[in-house]
Amino acid sequence: MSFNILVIDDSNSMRAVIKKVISLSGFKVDCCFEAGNGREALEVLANYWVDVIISDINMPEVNGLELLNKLQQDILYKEIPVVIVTTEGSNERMEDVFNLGAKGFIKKPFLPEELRRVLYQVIGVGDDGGYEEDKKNVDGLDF
Amino acid sequence: MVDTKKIKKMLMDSTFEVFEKMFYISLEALNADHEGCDIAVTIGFDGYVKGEDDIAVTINFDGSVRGEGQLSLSGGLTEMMAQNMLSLDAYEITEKDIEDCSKEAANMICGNFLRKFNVDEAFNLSLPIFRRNPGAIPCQGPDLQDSMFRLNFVSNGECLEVIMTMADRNR
Repeated sequence: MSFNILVIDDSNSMRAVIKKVISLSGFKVDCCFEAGNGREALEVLANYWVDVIISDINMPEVNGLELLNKLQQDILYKEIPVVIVTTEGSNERMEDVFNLGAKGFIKKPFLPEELRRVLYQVIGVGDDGGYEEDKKNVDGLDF
Repeated sequence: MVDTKKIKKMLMDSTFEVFEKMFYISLEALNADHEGCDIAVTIGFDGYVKGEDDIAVTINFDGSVRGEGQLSLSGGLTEMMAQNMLSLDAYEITEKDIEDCSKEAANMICGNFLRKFNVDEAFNLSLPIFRRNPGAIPCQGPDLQDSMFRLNFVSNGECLEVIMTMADRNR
């Protein structure tokens, strides 16, 4: 199975870095959408199905915390796993984002491995890009 | 208000970490003992980056302490940052790439520093402001008399100055 991923950051460069890490991490990606802030992200979500959201916090118009809040209020969007990637890495801020439903948290600056590890944890795929469940099934086969 | 040496160490570590992890650039501190060093003495500037291609980025923060972080970068350093971060050749780099990378550097250094300063508190960060060819930029911190920390770095002949000003929230 391949994933649709939405990367939200007001920095084109940071979005490019995140997309590069994803592409090099072995994830099977169908579409990688981009948005410069929470408002643009909601427009993407209104038009496309997204499996995972990777979002910054400090952005213009609708910031990452406001976006999380809006996602939580929508019965469809609240199930989409969100990974926050931000410079704001205090314990208080981490608590805020997890209370608002985020499933992962990465502090900038980050190493590519950190992003990869958290993404694997959140979407439940193994290092080879396959589902853990699929791997279990394969492991359980008796040839 | 603060332990000057400890704050400078936090700021220096934050800067090193950002440049190494995100831009793959090894910086050399001009003040290895964290005691501050005037860039003017070392490479001929008078405290501010001043070349035609030079860049300044400022970002404000607010919490139990408030203040401003300011990065002054030589143009060549920002080109190196953009090339390394985006894996591009020099001719592919645009002004927008340079602005993005410079802002992101200020954002990350400030956020990283504040996390080291007080890991339990969530500070509010402003959006970074980018200026090309800024000339001499006096730091616009809340109270220069209170706490101002300035560090200077070089890498392959390019230079970076990081200034952090901080004041108690109630002042």
